[in-house]
Amino acid sequence: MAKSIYRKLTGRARRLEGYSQLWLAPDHLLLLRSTRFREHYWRFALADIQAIVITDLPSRLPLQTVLAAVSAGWMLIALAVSFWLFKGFFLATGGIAMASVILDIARGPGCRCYLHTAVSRELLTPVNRMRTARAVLAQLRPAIEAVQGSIPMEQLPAFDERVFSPPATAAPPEIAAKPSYLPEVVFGVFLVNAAFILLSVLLKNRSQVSSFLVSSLPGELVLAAVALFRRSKDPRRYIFLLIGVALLGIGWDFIELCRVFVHWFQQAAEAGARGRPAPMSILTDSIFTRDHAFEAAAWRTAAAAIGFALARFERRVAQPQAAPVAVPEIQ
Amino acid sequence: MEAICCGECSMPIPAELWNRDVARCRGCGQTVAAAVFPAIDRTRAGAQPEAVQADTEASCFYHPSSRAAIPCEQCGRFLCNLCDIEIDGRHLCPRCFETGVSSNQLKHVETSRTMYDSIALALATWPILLFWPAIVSAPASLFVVVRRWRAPSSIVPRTRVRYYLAALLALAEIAGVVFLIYAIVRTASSIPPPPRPIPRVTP
Repeated sequence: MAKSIYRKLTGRARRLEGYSQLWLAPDHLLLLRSTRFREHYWRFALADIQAIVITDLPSRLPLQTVLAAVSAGWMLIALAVSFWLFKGFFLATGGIAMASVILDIARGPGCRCYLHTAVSRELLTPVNRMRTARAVLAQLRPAIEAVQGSIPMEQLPAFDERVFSPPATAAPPEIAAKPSYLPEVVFGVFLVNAAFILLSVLLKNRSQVSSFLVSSLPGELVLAAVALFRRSKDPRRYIFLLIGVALLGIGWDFIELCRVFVHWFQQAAEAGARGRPAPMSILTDSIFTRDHAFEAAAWRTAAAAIGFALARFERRVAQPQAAPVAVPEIQ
Repeated sequence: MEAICCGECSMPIPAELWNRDVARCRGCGQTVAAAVFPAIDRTRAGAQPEAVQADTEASCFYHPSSRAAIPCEQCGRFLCNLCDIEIDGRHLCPRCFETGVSSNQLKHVETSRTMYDSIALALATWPILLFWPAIVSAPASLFVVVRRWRAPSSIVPRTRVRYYLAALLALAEIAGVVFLIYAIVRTASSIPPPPRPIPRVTP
């Protein structure tokens, strides 16, 4: 194999559709994007590179901590079940999720790296961690400076006048974000679910209600998670804290439901082994026990009531006061 | 000159923050490191062709009113500064450049390549999951390996291990399929034929 002119700068940044990688040649930088069966090449001559800008991304530690806690909770369900197959399932899936979270934390903070030339601004996708970015810059800077030289520090202020037509000293004007109604929808779903949970244990013909809950309970979880993910666009704070606390309640409900399901499954398996008729389907009967149903309905109702009040209060505080319109005096 | 912007909020980064290890973006407050090089100060104007001054002067093949600056090293046509394309240390006209790119003769401007080794390996591995497609895909994989063995691979260092793996797997799959067919035929031939009905003899 002939000796290649390329030297590897980064590892492969893998995605679902392929990967990308950076290579360094004596006179250019090569950005390789692969779709697994075809490679595409972008070359940037070292003499043409104007700048490399690395921006640290906002910390994801809160999200990573929540994910780690959810994974740990998922693994703990294995303690609540006795059937070995379920134990293995919860341990294996929770372990994989936990390992991926730990790996993500270990790889360090994320970053975004742009390469500027006179005619383009290219995102270098393989440089997605600060550690990688520092290593790449440490190799790339001497190579570029060997071709172009470097800008003396005392000449830097002169660039400001040429680069920026408007002075960039002031922060961009702040755009007031209008709070969305998603948290209110979440609290509304809490209220609806509380009513259906109560009905599922109080009504005699409860199969329809149980079937509805099978869909609405995961829907509640998804809506709460989406509301938390989109919280940066909403200036309100306490309602999201409340949704976070409510997620713990949803987690507790989930564990209880798993216990009910496992109990039903064991009864069904035992009945099958002894040749007895199978117990009533879990969806025909209530999926909640009576005590648990009252608890679940109570916390949902409380969360919805507090949430609606908080949301209304915080919305009023967050909305900017409109400037008074000057009314012309009538002569 | 383009502004150097923050990767998060696209706010221009002032020159006083360039070439520092750590700086804060004034727009989003994130940590930014902008390594800026002298190319930022380079003018973007390209080479300007010169006008023909006298009738006796050679002119560009593509622009008769422009003075010829250099001949194309491939076809010999005279070229002005505008039409001269310098690539791999050679001066080419736009047409020869286009021909070179389309026929993969100019390695330094090649923009994509097909990875036949990955295709062969995919043909040898994925269809195994469903078993029966391997009857077609294993010979196809072997065909790709043989046919594309000498095809140019990636321009960055890449071993031939995928070709070897694909060939081995494909041969194993073909052997497995042949054995399976043999076993089915052998089993079918060893089953005794159903007894013939005895003709009824009438007295």
